[in-house]
Amino acid sequence: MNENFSNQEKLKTDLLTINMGPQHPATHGVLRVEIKTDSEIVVQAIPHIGYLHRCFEKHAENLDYRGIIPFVDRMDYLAAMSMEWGYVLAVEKMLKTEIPLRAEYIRVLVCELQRIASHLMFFGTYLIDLGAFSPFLYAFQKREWILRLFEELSGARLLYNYIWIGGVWNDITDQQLKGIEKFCHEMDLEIAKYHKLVSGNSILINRLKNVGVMDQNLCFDYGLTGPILRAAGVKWDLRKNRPYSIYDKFNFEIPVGEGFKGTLGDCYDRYMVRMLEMEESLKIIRQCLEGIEAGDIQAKVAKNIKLPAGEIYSKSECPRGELGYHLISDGGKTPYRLKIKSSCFTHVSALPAVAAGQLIADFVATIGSIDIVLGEVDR
Amino acid sequence: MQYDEPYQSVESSEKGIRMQDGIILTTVDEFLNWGRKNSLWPMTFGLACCAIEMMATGASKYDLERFGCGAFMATPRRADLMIVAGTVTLKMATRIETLFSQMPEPKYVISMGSCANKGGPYWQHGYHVLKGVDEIVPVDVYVPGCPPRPEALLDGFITLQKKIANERLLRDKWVANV
Amino acid sequence: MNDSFVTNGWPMFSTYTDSINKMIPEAKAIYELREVGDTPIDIEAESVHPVCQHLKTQFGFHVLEVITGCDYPDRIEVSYILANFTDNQEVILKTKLSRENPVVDSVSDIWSSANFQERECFDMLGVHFNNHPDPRRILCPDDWEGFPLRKDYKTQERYRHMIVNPESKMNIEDREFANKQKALEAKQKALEKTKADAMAEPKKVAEIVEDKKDDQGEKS
Repeated sequence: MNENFSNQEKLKTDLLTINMGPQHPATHGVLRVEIKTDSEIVVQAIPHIGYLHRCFEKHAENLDYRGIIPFVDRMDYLAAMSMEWGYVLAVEKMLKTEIPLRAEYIRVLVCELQRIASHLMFFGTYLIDLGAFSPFLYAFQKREWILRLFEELSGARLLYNYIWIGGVWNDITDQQLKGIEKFCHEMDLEIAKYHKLVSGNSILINRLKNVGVMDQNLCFDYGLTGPILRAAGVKWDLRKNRPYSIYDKFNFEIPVGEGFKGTLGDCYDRYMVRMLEMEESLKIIRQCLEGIEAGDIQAKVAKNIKLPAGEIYSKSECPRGELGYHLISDGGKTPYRLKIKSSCFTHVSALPAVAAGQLIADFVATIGSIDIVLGEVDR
Repeated sequence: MQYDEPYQSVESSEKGIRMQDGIILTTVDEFLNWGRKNSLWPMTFGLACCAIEMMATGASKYDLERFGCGAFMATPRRADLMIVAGTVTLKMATRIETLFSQMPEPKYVISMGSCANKGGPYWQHGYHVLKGVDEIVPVDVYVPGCPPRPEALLDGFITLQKKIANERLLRDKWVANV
Repeated sequence: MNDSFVTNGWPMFSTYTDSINKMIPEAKAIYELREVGDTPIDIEAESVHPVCQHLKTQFGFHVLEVITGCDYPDRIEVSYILANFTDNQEVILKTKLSRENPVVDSVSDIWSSANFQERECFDMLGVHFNNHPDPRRILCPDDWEGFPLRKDYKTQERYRHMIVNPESKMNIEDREFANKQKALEAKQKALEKTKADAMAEPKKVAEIVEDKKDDQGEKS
């Protein structure tokens, strides 16, 4: 016995460096995380990004204001309508244009449907990461309906170029509005089905509770926004705190994490906040359908748009967090500098702070719960 | 009674053989190609927006599994097909070369989307974008679109299957009647 | 468009600048209210760190949203955008740095989100941040040359063994063809205009003759 003990003391152990490389089934794109582990427990995680750096800001300096819109929606390709709306808001604030009311209603309708599509995508892919395959197929069924509607409106399934400066490009018909009403009813039943299938599942709860806790102080320190901040208990949503467009006309709640099954701000809270946000989006869509009236869809904007000299920083609420556009113009046809403050870029920087002490499987669950899209991180 | 014989004999109209005897006459090339094209296992290589359409192709509406490629392998050592879906940047290009060299023969590449074909919308001012994945990897089929519809990807996939059906074992691979 | 944020309390510029100038006089904070867009507060480059610390402790700006840079012919301007979620406030700070040696103190010990933001500023514009815990490139590869978002940046020809802009894919013939077509059309328009002027000249002579006749008529 004593001999065995002394042999074990002589064994030298060291940290193992594992590369969760750019090509990995669970990193949601080309994210590389260098993990130093002590057996199965992560000691340090260093994210490396830039594998999808597509030089968007250089393009923005060379294209005119209308021509930037297709590039903007290729950044966060899962929520393209929200990206376009954020950019168009910045330009319209500088131009001080009045948007017709019907165009505003259509924009809100389309962006809330996009929010539901994005959260469905999160639901499907997050559960694949955790090992369940069927919810992915259920989620994509409903998502296909939304993409079909967007295809009828704008011509494309994923990257739309639909929200233009001054309004929207194509009008929505009454038949499509009736279809959306039917979709809302079906979606309510679907979400109830997801809760029954997944949310109460004891395996999921045991995997997600008390994992990757991001509390309020960490969120403020790292600048995390969106569902992550709301899951930490802070009631901050730009649609209510800084209402833009016509969001002050609608009556909806902001779902906030409460430590549903574990600590406040863990992975289960973030998952639950996104599921509840889908239900709130359905409420907004129903109110939109009641309030929409006939009218113009495009305001009169000059053929060659030239913004007055100056700068603006405008923010909007995307499904992943707050999206900011810092636009500096010198009076010409193209922006002098367009900087995008993407929420996912700041979210990735918080990974090293929560990684220490987790198992590798928990780390995978944490990465999935912050819901990053690498197109927005690397731009 | 009808059930005297356990199996009904099926006459194959083309070659006049009795299938029940378990004998098929064909050439080695056709047999190998039939096996390869109907069980292409892709490697999960989604880079950007086209990856979402690839996932939608694999979902239940535009099912990719009925063509035989149900198992999306995460490791290149077990995969036959690399669908390069999305923009290839210079930083990622070195990794793509490594992954392609880790795939065992026979291996095929589908270049999906405008970015992988020729640089896509980033061709003019993209200092960090590789203008097409065929600069580093030999491509078999190009699928255009930004992003291509799932039906377009399926069409590209079927074209690759037709290309594989024309391979010859003992002669040069791509010298065939296409 | 709804401007309830403006009515709730537009950033209190004078409060901030007075407080900064009182506590840190070398900052020389000034602002000039703009009609279009947002108004930044300009401060000196050496006092970025104390000013940020003061704004965080005194006015509760606990979130750093973004650090951006912009390249001008004679300077590089770095902007810091701070936010306060509890009081719903936002402020933009701007500093000017020289183009030859852009150096400024890092604020990553005040807000951890500054880490990635400053790395990106360095990668894209070449601004050096003192006391940064991890000063290396973030978006471009580690062996990249040059700072892409500067206005005088030229795309490098090769990166390792790959050609960045191969001739066969740059679509140069189509671009040159379009320019040639435009030049041809402009020439044709100019030709037609000179022809039209030449045709119009006899008319003008006739008008002058008629005017003279009218004048003579009136006179007579």
